[in-house]
Amino acid sequence: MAIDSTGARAVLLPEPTRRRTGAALTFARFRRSPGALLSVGWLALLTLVAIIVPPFIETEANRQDLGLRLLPPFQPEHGLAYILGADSLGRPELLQLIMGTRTSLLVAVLSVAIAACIGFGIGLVSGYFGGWVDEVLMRIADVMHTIPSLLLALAVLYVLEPSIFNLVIVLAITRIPVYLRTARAQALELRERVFVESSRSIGAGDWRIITTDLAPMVLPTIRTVAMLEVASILLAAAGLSFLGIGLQRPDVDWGMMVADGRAYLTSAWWVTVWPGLIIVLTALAANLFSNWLRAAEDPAQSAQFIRPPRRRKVRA
Amino acid sequence: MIRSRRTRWVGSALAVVGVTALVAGCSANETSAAPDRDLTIVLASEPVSLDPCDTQDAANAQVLRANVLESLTRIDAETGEVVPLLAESWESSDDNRTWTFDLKEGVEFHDGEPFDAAAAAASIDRVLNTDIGCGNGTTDQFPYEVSIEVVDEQTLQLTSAEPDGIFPLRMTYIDLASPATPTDAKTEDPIGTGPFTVGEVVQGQSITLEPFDAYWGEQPEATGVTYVYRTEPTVRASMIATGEADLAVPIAAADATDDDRTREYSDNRVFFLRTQTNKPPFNDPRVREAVHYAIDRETITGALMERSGLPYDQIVAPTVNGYIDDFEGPSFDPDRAAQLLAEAAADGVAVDTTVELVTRPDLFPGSDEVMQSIAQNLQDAGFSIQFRSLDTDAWLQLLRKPFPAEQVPNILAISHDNISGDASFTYPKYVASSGTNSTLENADIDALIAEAETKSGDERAALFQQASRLLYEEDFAIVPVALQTKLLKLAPGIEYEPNGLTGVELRIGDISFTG
Amino acid sequence: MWTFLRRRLVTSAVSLVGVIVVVFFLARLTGSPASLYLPESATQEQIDEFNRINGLDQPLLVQFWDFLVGAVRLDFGASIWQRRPALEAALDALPPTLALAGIALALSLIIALALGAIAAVYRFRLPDRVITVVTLTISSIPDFWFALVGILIFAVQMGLVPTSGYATPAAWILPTATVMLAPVGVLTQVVRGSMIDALGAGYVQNARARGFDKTRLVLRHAMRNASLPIVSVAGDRAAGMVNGSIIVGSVFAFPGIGVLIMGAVLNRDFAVIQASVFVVGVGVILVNIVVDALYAVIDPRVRVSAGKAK
Repeated sequence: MAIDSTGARAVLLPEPTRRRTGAALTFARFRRSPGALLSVGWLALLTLVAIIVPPFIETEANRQDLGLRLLPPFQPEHGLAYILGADSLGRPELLQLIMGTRTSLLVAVLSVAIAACIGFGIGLVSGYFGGWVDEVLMRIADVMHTIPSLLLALAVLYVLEPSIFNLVIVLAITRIPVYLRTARAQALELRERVFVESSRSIGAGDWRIITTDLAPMVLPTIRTVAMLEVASILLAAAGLSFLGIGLQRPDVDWGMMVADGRAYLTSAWWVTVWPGLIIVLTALAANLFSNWLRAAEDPAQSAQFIRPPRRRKVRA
Repeated sequence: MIRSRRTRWVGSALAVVGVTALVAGCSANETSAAPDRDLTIVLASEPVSLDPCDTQDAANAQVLRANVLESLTRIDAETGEVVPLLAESWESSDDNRTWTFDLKEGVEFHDGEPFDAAAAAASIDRVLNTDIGCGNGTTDQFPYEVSIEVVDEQTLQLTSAEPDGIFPLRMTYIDLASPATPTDAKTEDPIGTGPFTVGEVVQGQSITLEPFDAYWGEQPEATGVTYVYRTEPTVRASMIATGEADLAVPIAAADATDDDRTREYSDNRVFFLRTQTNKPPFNDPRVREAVHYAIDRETITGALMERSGLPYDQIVAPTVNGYIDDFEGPSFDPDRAAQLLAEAAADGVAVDTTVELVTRPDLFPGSDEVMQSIAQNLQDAGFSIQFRSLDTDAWLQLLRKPFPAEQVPNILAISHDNISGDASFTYPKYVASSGTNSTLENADIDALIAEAETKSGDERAALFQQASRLLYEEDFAIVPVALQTKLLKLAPGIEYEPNGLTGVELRIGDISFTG
Repeated sequence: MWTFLRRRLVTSAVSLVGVIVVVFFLARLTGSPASLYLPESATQEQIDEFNRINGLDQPLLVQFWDFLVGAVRLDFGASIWQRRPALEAALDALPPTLALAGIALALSLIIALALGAIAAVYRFRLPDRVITVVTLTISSIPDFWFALVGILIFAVQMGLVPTSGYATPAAWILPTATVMLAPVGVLTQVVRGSMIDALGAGYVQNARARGFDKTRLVLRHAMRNASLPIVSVAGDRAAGMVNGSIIVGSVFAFPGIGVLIMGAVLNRDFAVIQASVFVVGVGVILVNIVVDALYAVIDPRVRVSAGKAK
């Protein structure tokens, strides 16, 4: 509710901005927020690079050159490809990072998307219906949760090939319970709310209530969790590489680059720091953007986007 | 800023934790310096079995052999000769089938049982003739049946079914344990004649050895040993730097220092690749030969195996009798490799079949990079390579017969050591067509190996060398890459000169304190 | 309360059985142990003998039945890798993991509650931005990288802590910090998010407008309603500590059930895999029951509706 300067007519003024220009308002706020701009910019840049660049540099990225092994960074005489240095087999770090971007983003986005969709859907259903449906679904979630991801990873990646697709499946399955539990908790709480009652009273069926009323309210939390999970997934893939059961060359992802470089932590810091840094920055960007999006869409938090008038110092 | 109670609690909680940690850390550092003559040795992995008959496995042997357990004979690391240990002397019959051992007197087992011919016989029988799955008594070490006879208290007679020129060498593999050792199951408590007994064993954490006062020989300087395990090479080396360990073995080349605290040792280990002669395209010798020419051993060992590998073109170390002096194998010649592949392709061989290059992450420190480099070499030469790094069990499935029928053609990375000095611990397994790890089917080589096994001395060596020549110059099934050395690290005040046996026998008696 | 508990135990037992069944078959997909435990030149007879001794030569369903029968009596067989009862190996490995997880989770919660609350109250102003960036950065660091760098800096360079092991209290610092990396970031964000929601709710605005003390509002009212998502994420993290302990166990040689499972998988020790997963499963179920009970305590509406049949 907008409160105009006189205050007296607070109750009567309609809420102009939000109702009329939902998406446009969000976009306007976006343009004004440096944090959001940077985050989205970074993510967009990565996505663009991941889609466009790899086919052009693939052979160059995987070309080993033992003569350039562990080349230090910032030596322009070796060309742009080697500007971030070279890894333990003389491959150019920058190009490896780009190839890794494609793999890492693909794995992260697909895993998170699959897990989130399934977890979100099942969680809503489970929380809303309650009763034995809830019990059964939660037990299945418990089963999925308890199975050690390592065992699952070994079984899947050993019996089948250690491919990107299989890695996505493994990571997705192990993370479903997070979304499931969160969605279910919120659904449990929301279904008792008045607006649900009122929907039911006008004859809306269960599925309609779930999709139209509950889903949009639970979505922001799921989105927050999903963005946070991006970091989780990137690190889980790195952990699998560290333990020796992740992707195999020539597929390369950021986590594998960090794991492969761990013998050179003191002698060649650039081999692990660049991929590590990019993991941190990407996870950070995802989370910051998610926070911002939440705030921008939530009327309760829209107060932050109103620039308070500058206080002028009153000179006595 | 809100001075909420919660923030204050958090602040003080963190402070308490922090201070406690620092205090504990400081005191931990002081108390962790062990009393002078106790050793802490950090290894890469835990022994799988403490049974005396399982010491053919290096992880078990490194802890037990020469420290807890002893055998009739042993190999002198300097000369490579078989020398007496619990047997003072021996002689063989003319046909090299019956060997008579004179045993040392006055030796006791840790449990007080006397060491005599009956005890030795019981121990040997346990290894060779029971079916509890003893690793020391397999056909690798003992291809022929052995019958055991106790002549008198100090004399033991062993008869081999076939003439065997290296019988005393084989006896170095059998560690002797007290007659009280159960013969129907493996034991966790090895009772031997060595200078130490096994004290506390904490599964997954440590093994402690205590000195045995009634040891017959010279008591080692160390008054106790604790073995701990760390899988990360960096952590092993770091433990030396912090004073948590006195000896770290093995360490990675990246952690090696230039001072005298880092020592190199060779365990006669060769790193080679094995192709499959029975699957296309490797059934054509030209394709196998192409692999030899495709690999740039010099650059790979120079750049990636610093201090731990030298380019090599044979599958046994120079101290083994199958080694050929001044033999020159194929050098790095990618053009020749490509030419060979083209020739084979012209004859209809499918040289572009995708071949798996199979390795293990823990083959040796840094093996992953070496294998990727090899993959690149092979691809440059024209092979279509898929890189596969498998865990130990999966790798073993491909290593040994029976090979999985549906496996794709592969090149398998193998790191094999032979400290015995005799090719019969390598060739029958890897080269003879009946060998468990062999993909060869070469009748000529088989004949030579079979004949060599019956001979001894120079004749034996000559025959093995002929077999080697056939392998390297005509068959090409096995592609040697590097002769390996290992590295270990010593803490200040510790002196230990490693030798060829260190990988399988780390004698605490050889470790001395200088500070 | 007791009906709730009883029902939960029954259904949890069902899911535990489900887990064990799945793990039974999953473990056997990884391969067979004979090659690992027998010397290289083992003959087929020796392999067959090994399989016979360990019950691996029976048809799969027979093995499964034997296993179920044993499991009911809590007999998971003998470990071929460690040569002692599998359940004993699993139970021995449990306390260090529980201790590590407990300490790490407690510390993470304390830090997250404090920082998340501050961030929510000062949202989008400087404290919030700093806290968000710092905690998210921390939770984005690969744990094994942090562990190895931590050893190099704090143990080797500065000598403050030992490199590895778990004997002294000081040896717990780096492992605990490593395990805390991810939860701190996630929990802080979740606390912040749900606190913002709670603070934005009508009744809170109302109370603030009427002059209620902000701190009391935060602590007593907003926190309670904000805690549902926090509890669920914390519960998830607690149950997931097993995986976190694998890296810590591998780098620091810190014993635990995660590293036991990994060793059992690599050594194809099905008995220990099954026993460990059973132990972990029981733990996860207990955590879930606690979490659900907490939901009911925090939110009365959940209590009521949990009883509703549909």
